[in-house]
Amino acid sequence: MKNILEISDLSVSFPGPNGKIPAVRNLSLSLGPGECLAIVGESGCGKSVVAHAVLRLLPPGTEVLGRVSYQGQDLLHLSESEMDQIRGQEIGMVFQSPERALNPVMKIGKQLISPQVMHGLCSEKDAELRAKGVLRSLGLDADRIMSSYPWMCSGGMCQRIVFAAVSLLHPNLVIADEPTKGLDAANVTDLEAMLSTVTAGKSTGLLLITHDMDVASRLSNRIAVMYCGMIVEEGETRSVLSSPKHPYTRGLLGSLPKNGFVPIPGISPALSDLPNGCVFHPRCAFAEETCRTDIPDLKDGVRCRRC
Amino acid sequence: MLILEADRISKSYGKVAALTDFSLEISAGETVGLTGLSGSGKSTCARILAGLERPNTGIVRYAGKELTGANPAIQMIFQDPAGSFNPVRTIYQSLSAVLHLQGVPKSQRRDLLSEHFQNAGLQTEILSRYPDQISGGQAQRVAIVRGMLVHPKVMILDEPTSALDVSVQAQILHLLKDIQKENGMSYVFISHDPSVVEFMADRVISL
Amino acid sequence: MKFDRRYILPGLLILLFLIVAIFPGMFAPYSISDRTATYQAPGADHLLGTDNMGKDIFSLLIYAARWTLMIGFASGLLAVFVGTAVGLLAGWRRGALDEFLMGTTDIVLILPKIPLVIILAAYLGPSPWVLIFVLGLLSWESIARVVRSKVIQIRSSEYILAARCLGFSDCRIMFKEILPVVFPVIVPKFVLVTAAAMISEASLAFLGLSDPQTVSWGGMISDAFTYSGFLRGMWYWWLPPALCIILGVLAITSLAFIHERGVREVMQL
Repeated sequence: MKNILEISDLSVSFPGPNGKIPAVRNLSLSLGPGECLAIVGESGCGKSVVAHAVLRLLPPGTEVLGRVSYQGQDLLHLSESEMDQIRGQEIGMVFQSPERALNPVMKIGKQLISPQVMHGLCSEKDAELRAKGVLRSLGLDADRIMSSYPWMCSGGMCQRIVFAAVSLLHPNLVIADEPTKGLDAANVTDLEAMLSTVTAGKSTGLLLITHDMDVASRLSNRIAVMYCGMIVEEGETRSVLSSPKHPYTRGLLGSLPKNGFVPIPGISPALSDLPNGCVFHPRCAFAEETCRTDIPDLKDGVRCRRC
Repeated sequence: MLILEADRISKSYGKVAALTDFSLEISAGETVGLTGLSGSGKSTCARILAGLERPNTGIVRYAGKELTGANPAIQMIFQDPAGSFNPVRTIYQSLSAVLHLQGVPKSQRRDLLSEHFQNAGLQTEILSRYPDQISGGQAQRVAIVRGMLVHPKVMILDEPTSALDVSVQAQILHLLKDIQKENGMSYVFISHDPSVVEFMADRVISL
Repeated sequence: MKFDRRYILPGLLILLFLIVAIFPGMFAPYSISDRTATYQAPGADHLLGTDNMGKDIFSLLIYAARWTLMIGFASGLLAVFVGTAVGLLAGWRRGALDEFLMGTTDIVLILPKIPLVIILAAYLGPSPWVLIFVLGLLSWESIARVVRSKVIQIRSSEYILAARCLGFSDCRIMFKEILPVVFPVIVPKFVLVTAAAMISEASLAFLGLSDPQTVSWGGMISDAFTYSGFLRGMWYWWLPPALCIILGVLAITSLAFIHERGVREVMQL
């Protein structure tokens, strides 16, 4: 089946005081319909930058190279108005903190109805019926919610409302950027259940950006592990998590509570001061001479010479 | 030996009760874990045990005497590592002020701090940076070093790794265990994550 | 922090005024006690002519910079001193002291400033020191409020809690930990109070409530008005001091606005 999203050779760099700072380097990924791809990694590894690059939400002055192809269209070369058509209707977005994703001074009903009308999906009357239907299916008191303001709702309710707003537009791709950060355990479970419905219809793809390996393991089919702007390992979620190959992936999994908090020695280098060769070699127990000089290729889903 | 003790303390803000009739006994050298959902009064409890706030009723005793305010023998580590440092001062300036309070002469401060930094796995270059120029993991290590400068008997750790990445969390937890092994102080370890508390604590109390 | 080019123009203007105010002798062709023929038109000898006493108007203009700026900056400093002290104390201690200090601040806030200054100036005599004292002691209330709210915001932040745990004294925390962080919000307030004091001085001088011994821009306009400068169409008598006041106040306030905006951008307030 044709891929919904295909990122090839994406490099993003931000302007810095001492030259460019590479946030993402030579990243290639693809996502098919009905599939969930998780990009995991620690803060500063560039995972959110990928999401923002796809949505063209990076600040001006950022250098973006490569190709981001959405259903055959190169998003990096679309005009701003063409991008407006894509965002929301074609690509839905779920960000961190649902309370801030809603306009605090607009009634929720209006926030759910007007995007549908604006994108020309249906008439205002139908839009209201559909909005109420979706809210009800998420277990909310639709009539009451439609006439309230976001600040009258709890965090968990806002989360459902944001998700309703996304799903009402029937996007072909949903990008969720750290959707579970800062949520209570109960709300995480709730959100996971909603996100898993995205891919259930087998037509929509879900790109999940998260630091939480547990969330990634429950939701995704495939997983890409990023370290210092590069994918170090990619593959089927189950096989990557059960038999990780790259030393960083192993270290990351070892740091998890269930594996006994075994730390990786050393610290992540600053993006402005990356080591030569394999980015992980200063912290790697298996580093050889060649690791210090050459960046290994991504082969069979692993970017490591030894593996 | 009992070192810090909370005796039926309660605290409320306006009409909201944050903590009711809470009692806790901490012996020298042990780690007590506190866990609970958000809003269960974990942070309030931490601040009262550190002497930063007074309970409405009940009493907190340190070494048998009532605790009426902050006391250098009880140090606290916070969730937001960068926020634990004055944003307009370099790390060296912040830590040097603590050594000044300890009566360490200026000429010895840099060497002493370098030594502490090495033990905590920190590069000495960090001394000349501002808090927003170091990573969360580094800032949390520096906060631990700063707390240790005054030789505390109890350390209250309020979600010390909740804002950190998992690999950094693992490092910090091990650093804390090593420090405790060396100095034998007591920890009150607070986290919303039961697995972290279980890893650290000798006994766990749910709020 | 990158240098902001918007500072250049107002900054240079203030610098020029300050140099002129500090070394008037270098710029003024005559001393303020020199007298020649009265009501002369501008010419080669007297750039802006002479006034009713036969004094060189251009020289007066230069000497006036000193008092106008002095009154402005000195009352600004006094207001900052009082306002910061009140704000720090109220915000740090809270409780009854806070309520008392803020109540006092509210009272100062509702005092009708200019009428009060007029009464006090008339009653205490028109000395510039009285003016500095009165203007300074009537303009600290907004500084106190800003400082207090900033202190309340900072005092519960984790680095202040950490400082308390480490055993730092209240006094040290207030002056060494809180004051440097509050400082950026005080600077623009100081500048605005200074500008307001300069205007107040000019208004009072124009109403004749200034010391005849001291020359100020407001006093010059007042003289031009009283001694028929307006009737004789001597615009070169009253217009230059008026322009100086306007330029000075504009330069000072724009410095404050640029600085405040810069601080907002940096601190993301």
